[in-house]
Amino acid sequence: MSGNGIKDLSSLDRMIHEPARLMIVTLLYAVEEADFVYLQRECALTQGNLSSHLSKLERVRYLTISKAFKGKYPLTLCRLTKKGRQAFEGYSATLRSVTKASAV
Amino acid sequence: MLLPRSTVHTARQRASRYLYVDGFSTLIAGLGCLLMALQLFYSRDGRTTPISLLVSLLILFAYLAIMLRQREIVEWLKTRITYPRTGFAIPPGFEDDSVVHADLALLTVDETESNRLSEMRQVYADKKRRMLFMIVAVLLAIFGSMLIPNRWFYVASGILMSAGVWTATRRDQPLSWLILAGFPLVGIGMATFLSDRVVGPDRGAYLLATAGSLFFLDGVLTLIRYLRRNPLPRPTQS
Repeated sequence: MSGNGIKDLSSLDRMIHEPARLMIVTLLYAVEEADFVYLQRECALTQGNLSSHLSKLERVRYLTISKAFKGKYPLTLCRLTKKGRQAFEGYSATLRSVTKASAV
Repeated sequence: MLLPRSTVHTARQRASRYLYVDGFSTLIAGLGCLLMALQLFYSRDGRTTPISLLVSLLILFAYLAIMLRQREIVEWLKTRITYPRTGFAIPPGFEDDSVVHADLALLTVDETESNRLSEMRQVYADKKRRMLFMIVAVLLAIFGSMLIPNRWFYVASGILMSAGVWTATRRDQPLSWLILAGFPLVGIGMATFLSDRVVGPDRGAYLLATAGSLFFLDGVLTLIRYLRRNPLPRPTQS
């Protein structure tokens, strides 16, 4: 973060900045891990939409997706990686500094 | 801290409350209280026939099974009813202490992780403090009812139990008015209607039975509400 006020907005992480992905990352930041159904219910996204955003976040290694079973119930577990947590913290720090600087 | 605290905090709180959304924890806790009360009622006559001993042992076994395996029982029920409907999430601070300590040892160099883990430790410590307060309040209420012969102590016990439950659960799960208002009201009811001949352990047993009934009823109502709001989704390809 350079401390240039409004110009800092250009350095926002676009991978997180997209609203649906921001919802997903915020939710995952708040938990240890969550499964696909939980995220879908909390974010109110369609299966396809959620799936596509999760894939994008997984591609940049912000989260890991693993398959597991709880009894006979299959789970698609999502967990934010260390890199993902740092990215979210960086994103929120930038956003906060910009909104603070531009406050009237 | 540089995070958008309100959003993350809300998400965290929702995840913590999600553990109790189906009412299973309350229902099982109520069942445990009811079994304990049943055991106290059943053993008061000092019956020593083989059948009464067997029944007494069965009640004790069921009670211990519920108390010692509460988490596993709740998890078993959730796996069949909750997770297929509304999904699965582990809120922060829910894993065992040992897991956190192991993580801490590995990740203390990382600021992000150490912030997160120190927050988790705070959550643990806070939860432990609140649980301890509840245990002390409930024990005071039960033993006080047994030992203090004044029948109006039931009202004080009700208020004490209500305060204990409120302190322990207010941050983790939605407060149930049935329980919060129920304990003092039941205390007033018991002080008014219960016979003076009810003394000693029987008074504690009555209190436990009403507490168990309230928890159980609250759990059942929460479960019914949950099932009505969240029907089982039709299987589709994800």
